[in-house]
Amino acid sequence: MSVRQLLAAMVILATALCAPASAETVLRVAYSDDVATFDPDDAIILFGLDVSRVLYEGLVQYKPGTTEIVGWLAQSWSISPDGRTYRFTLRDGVTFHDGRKMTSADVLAYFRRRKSPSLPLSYFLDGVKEMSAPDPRTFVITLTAPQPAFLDRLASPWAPKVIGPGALVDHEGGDLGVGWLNEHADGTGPFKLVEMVRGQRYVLVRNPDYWGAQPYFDKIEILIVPSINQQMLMLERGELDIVEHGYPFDQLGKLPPGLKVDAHDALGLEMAYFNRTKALRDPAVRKAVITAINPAGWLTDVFGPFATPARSLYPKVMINGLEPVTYPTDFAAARRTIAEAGPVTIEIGYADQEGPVQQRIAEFMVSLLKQIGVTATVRTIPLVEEFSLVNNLARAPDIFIAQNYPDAVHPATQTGVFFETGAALNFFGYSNPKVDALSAEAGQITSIPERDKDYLAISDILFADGAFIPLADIKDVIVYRTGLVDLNTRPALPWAVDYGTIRRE
Amino acid sequence: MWLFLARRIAGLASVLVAMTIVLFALQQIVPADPARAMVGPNAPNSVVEAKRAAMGLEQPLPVRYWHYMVQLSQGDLGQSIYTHNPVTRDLARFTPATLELVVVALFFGILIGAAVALPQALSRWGPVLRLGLIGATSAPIFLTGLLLSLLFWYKLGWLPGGGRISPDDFAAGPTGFLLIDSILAGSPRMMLDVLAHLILPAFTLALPIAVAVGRTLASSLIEVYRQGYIRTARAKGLSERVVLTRHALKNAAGPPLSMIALQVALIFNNLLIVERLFAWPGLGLYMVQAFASADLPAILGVALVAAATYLVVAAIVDILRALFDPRLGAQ
Repeated sequence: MSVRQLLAAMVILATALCAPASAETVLRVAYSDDVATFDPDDAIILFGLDVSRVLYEGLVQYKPGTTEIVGWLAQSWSISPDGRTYRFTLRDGVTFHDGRKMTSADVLAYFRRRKSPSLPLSYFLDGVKEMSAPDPRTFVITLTAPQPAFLDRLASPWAPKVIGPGALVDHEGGDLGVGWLNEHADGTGPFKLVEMVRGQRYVLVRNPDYWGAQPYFDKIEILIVPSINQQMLMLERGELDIVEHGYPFDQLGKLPPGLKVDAHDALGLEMAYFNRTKALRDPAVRKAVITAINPAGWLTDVFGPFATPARSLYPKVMINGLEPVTYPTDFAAARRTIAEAGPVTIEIGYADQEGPVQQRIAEFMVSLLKQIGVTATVRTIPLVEEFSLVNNLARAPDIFIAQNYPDAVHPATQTGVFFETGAALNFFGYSNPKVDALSAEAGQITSIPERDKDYLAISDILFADGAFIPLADIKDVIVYRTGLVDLNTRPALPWAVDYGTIRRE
Repeated sequence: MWLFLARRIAGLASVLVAMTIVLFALQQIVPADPARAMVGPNAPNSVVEAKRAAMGLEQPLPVRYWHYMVQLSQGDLGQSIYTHNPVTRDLARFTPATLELVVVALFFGILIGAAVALPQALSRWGPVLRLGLIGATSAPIFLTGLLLSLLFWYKLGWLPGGGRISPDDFAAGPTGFLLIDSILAGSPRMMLDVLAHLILPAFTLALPIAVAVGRTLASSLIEVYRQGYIRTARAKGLSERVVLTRHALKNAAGPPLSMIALQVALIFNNLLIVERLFAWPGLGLYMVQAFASADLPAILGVALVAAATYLVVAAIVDILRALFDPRLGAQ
């Protein structure tokens, strides 16, 4: 055999080996990064929520396509008239992945673990006074004070999800099972985690003992593919079935044949945070800058039809039925203000999680600001640096733009994470006692129209102060191969289809 | 030889200690919060403070450094902030992929470099061939990799575009070196699949090595061919092949071997790009994730592996040089 023949044979063999698999019941999806952990109590994750929710299940969840809360492991529930006691009736016939039958004692043991202060997501159960399991199918939570947002917290993508005693007892390991649960799972969901090779792939197989409807797919394979370009090409070649996040907005209008888009409203709100301690100290300058960065000037260019002008500082799936925010539009007045203020130079920082999109917005803002005489520069802010901005406002950018997600659909979760004094994502340390008081008041109101009035008042104050600027409601965009149906996306669940229901036509 | 190796190890140990000091000092300057990275964005500040205390981040830097060095002396590299795993476990998983890729890339690089250098030294087409190779590698490595991927994977479908192995053949073997694992498993299909996955990333990494090694070898051979002992060998009637293999190559091997050692040190820079481009689950991917999370234990762990790899390769090169040139051995 000549060298040429040998090479030809190798190429043919390799081609045969590398042909896309045609197994009908395998669904292949890619993540850009490894998942930090599948332990539902140990970290906030974004990539991995789709997997997490088919491994583990909580008491309640949001119904697909809506923000309505429905039962999950809880068949039903009741809330005491004083709003402090939640009594859940658990579903019968639920088993964990290791075959043990779930009882309320297991749920109680799990919730006690979740409440452990050493676990980062224990804050979801702040305000829980006591928990009990009076009978095998009843689980009761008593709060110290009413929390109208409590049920939303239990329906959140990062809500408590019941882990089995197989993990919590057999693999406790002196660390509440954190080490074992990092790469293993023992839940009640329709899939079992059978393999997790970091950097390469995670494999889930169908749980034959699942209490609900059996999923269509036998197996879900999650491949780690860091480059979104690579993911797009793999999708086109049929090596992937879904790209759940990161498909460039400007490519969505010219998708290759065989691909479809699911674009749905989501909780991701694009906001600008103003550092009011430097160039934007003067309210008149802030107003001029807001005039220039009006999303009407760049929204379609950046997002095409996949975003709408923001209606408040709350995503529209949280508070709906409003008109878009009214921005000041008098460019001539803005130019005069800047001319009177003298040379104004500002720095725009953008979050690197959604780097290319945020960078485009920042660059549009630079050119718009130039029209009113403001000189602006741009720099990226790594995720781990975002939270340190408040520690050195003098070195921080004047504007920070980012798309962030609250914990759940209730507006209290948005206010508590972004706007209150000392909130985690209050990047420039804004503090307003009136906002804090309104937030405390709204957090106790159960009537949705009454509650929303308070939250919209907060939104108006923050916008008028030039502290937080609502920019756009961004749709969650998922690109998938034609023939897949029943994706059952949820507004509150970022970057995720429902592997429990998705199927081929 | 043992004294030489001991000196090398002592030298490397001092470099590593200096590196750990610098990286620890950088923590004080970099405005990143590992505790926040570990708990995620939305957790209240009280949770972050608790995590910071649990991670010992509130202790003075020298105290933290001392604790780290004590752990290190016991083979414990700490816990990764991103993966929440012991760094040693992560390294054990990610290092084989990178080492396998580096070894194959070096093999390709030396092979192509030699193939180009020999005609360069021996024929009048040398300068033309040299220009051709330089032209092929003058593009940035991400562009070269992208073009290779688009052509041989996306367009022609001859080779896989990413990963170490096809999902259908996936097997996590005992060593983590999939070529070895495929032999242990007695699976020719798996071996061919692994080789097919290696070709594009290894070739992309190999091109700069080929240029460097090829040029150095060619220059060295040209110099050797001017020496009197080559004329003597030819005058004795030895064939050109014998002159090349017995006399010229042995004497010309020193500079290219040194260049190979240097290329191993440089290859880690290109790994970050190539592993991302080809979804290669190695230290480059691990490092990128670590940077994004201010994951100092992981960054230090990778730095240690890279330094240790360089030490081993440099030692092998020195031994080979001494074998080719007994004068160096005597020194």
